[in-house]
Amino acid sequence: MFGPFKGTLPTLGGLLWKRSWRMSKDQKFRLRKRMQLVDRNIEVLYQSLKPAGEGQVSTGHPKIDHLKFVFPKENEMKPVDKYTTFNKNAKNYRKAVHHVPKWTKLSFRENPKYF
Amino acid sequence: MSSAAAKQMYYKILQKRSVIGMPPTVRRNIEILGLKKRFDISYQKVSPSTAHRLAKVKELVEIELVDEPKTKEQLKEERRPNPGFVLVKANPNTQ
Repeated sequence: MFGPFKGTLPTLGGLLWKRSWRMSKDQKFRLRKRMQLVDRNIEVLYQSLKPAGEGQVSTGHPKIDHLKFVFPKENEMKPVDKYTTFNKNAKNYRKAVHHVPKWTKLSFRENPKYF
Repeated sequence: MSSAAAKQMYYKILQKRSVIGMPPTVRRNIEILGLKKRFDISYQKVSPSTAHRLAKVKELVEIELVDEPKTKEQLKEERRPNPGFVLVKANPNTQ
């Protein structure tokens, strides 16, 4: 079983799940780092449009305010929300985020209402 | 009134992720922000329209608030590696 006839999972069995059903701890670590970057970016956007006064005040731009005050932050989220997301076809309506196409370039933080 | 009214601030935008595989709206926003590929840096004036553009691409870029934009030459100078020596006295014949 060497060279071209080497036994690999696809040649031996045929069925191979290339994405494990759960994320590794390193995938989770990198996901948290990316989420923290998004949090920092949102903070910069908020600070740039914030009025000169003190305190947590509205910028007058609903979308930026939503990101700052409603969009969940990485350190406020439960692990189940960080690593899984809503999916209407999945069992129990939850799906691991690493099964979503382009998952490293998207945010999955807000769940549907009543979920 | 925004804090930017007192002094014009700039966004320093560093593209950290490629736009490969992203939808046309995201690609277009990245292009308009002056970014072409990963690790490009672009400076844009702080404004609500730019902020909303950045909100669209917040997963792909790293944003900082700075007072002054830097020129391409300044950015290149910052990347120049340490030559490993200090020029004490220049040779007059070569000047």
